[in-house]
Amino acid sequence: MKRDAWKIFLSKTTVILLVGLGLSSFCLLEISAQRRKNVRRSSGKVYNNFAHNIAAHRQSCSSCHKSPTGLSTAKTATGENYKYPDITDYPDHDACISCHRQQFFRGARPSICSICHTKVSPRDKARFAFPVPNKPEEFSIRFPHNVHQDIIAGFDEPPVRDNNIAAAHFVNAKFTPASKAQDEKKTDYNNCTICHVPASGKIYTTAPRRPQLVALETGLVIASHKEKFTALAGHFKTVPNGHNSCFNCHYSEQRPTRNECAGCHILRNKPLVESNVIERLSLKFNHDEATEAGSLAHDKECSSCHVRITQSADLRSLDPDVPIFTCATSSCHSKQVKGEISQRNDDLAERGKNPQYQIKSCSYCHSSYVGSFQVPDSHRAVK
Amino acid sequence: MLRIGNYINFITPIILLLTSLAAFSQEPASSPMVEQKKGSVRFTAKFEINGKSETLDRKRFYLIRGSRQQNAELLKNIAETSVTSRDCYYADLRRNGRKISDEFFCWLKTNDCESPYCREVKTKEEALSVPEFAAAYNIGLREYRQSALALKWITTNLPDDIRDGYYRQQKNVLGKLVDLAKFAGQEATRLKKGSTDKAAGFQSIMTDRLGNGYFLEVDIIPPENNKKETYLITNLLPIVFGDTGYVWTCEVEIDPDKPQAQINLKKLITDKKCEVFTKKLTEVCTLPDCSKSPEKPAEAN
Repeated sequence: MKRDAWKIFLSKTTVILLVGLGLSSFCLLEISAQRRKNVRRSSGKVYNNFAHNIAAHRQSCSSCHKSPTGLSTAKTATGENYKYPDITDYPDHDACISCHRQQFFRGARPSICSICHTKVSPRDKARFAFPVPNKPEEFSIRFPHNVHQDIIAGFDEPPVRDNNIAAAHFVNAKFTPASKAQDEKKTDYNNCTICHVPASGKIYTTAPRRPQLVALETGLVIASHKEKFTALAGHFKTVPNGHNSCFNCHYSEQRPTRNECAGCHILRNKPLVESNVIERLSLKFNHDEATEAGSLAHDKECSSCHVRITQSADLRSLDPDVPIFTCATSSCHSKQVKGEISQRNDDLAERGKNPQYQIKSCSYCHSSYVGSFQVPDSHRAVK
Repeated sequence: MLRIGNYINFITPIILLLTSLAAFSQEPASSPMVEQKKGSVRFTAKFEINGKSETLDRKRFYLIRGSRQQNAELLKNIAETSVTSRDCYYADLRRNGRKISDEFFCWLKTNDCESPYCREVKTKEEALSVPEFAAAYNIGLREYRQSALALKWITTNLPDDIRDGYYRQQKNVLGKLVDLAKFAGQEATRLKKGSTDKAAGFQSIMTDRLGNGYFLEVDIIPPENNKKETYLITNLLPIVFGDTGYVWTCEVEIDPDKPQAQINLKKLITDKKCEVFTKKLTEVCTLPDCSKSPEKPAEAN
């Protein structure tokens, strides 16, 4: 019995020792390989690019960036130019030199200078525009729409409502041109248009939204997209692209303030390459379309069609998509939308009989490209 | 020589230990698969007071899974929540020694505003006609040295209690109720399908100027022998008319086969589907006479 127990003890000890030995050798090998790799990296590293997402750079924003650094220009609603304090420039040398002294003085033309400076020369201070245009976006923006809506659309009724005064502040999304609004002397309450205004000047290339979510229907792909359609700037609304839309409330007191960058700027895991392509399914909807009488055709407030916006807590979950029923149940588009869907069903039946049959429907709202996708469930529900 | 039996003796307890650890770390077995559909509702918030139809425009309404009975705890909290009107908030500040000008009261009243965030102060003259705005404008002018910017950023230099103190106070009250409502929705969902999905069983919308709002993609798990599911529509925070605040808690049945079913608050009240909590405001605070023209404070040099 004693010998057996001794043998069991020995066998267990051997196993533990072997496993331990194996693990420690593996760890040692891994560490030395990592060290070799690091040595190779540090010796071969070219410091000509800056990324916020590496561990050493994940510090408080204010440890490098100062706010403000200069003035930017913006326009008031009446078109008057004004300059506002902004973050217009790179951090000073102090922000980098404590860690990168070696790279600052490496050779006659240190590559680290080329991150900010247009010329690597001690006599030339010129820097690239800030933020660097065309550089992939390292940050996404957090903007809680619902919080802002509640602030600008809050007050519950005065005891006696004056019909001349708008009852709340999320009034009639101002598709109305400024001149007309002035004529009518309406009170211009803050609403979506403090950030989203008609786009102008730029013509966008276009592509449908989320094509990955609408699988192609086998055999129904339209062979050639002959339809020529160019979306104009007026089809779209702008989004804020500077600090002026935020600083007017959040500059000094209302948090997050100008020094609390992380309140709005969230570091992405993977940088985003900005694109000029607008992803919209109903490409033919024109926000600025005029009626025959010259007034705006789409003069309802934004949330009448963008019904999901009032549910949104942040940009990531924001779905500005307009559900089809908002048009299909309206007196303006009901006939056309229902007609298109019915036509589409007829086309599909025809295609069943004749494989060469060209499916043409869906062009009332969509480009022919979208028309080649499967009819989504939301559209099937329209009766 | 080591025998295989010894290895087994050694490894078996380890395997048993690991297996039991793995078993403990698993979620409890979820409920059997339940049939799940989506419904949607077009909600119109209108009601009648003193024989006059009122539209509840730009108001938040909430959709919570379950009946009034199932949400009894939430309803109890709604009944117990007290409310302060905008006028009383500012009157309280004044009583506590804070200097709030009549002009500021009147600016809020005539513009139907809860806070200065509701619309821009457009001109220097307008800013200078309200002492609070004039002070903020003058601070801005000293700091930014530009009239247009001082005007545009006027709210950044207003003291926080008069800028958004009322909003924050309301938000605190509402936040507690919303948390309870979310919990109620989650709990009802967990009981129905064993899901702890935080978004399930709770939605909120803001009505448009016509009092309409849409609850979309509502999760429907009907009880046996019924294709509809009962939800609660409520505004949680009282909507004030005169000296009374109203909270409606209405039961609605959502049918997944009827997309965008029209549900009207007025009809729900008529059909006795709602419990209405009326709250007499603890105090009605009188505003100053806003018909007088204000004196203009001086602009900073």
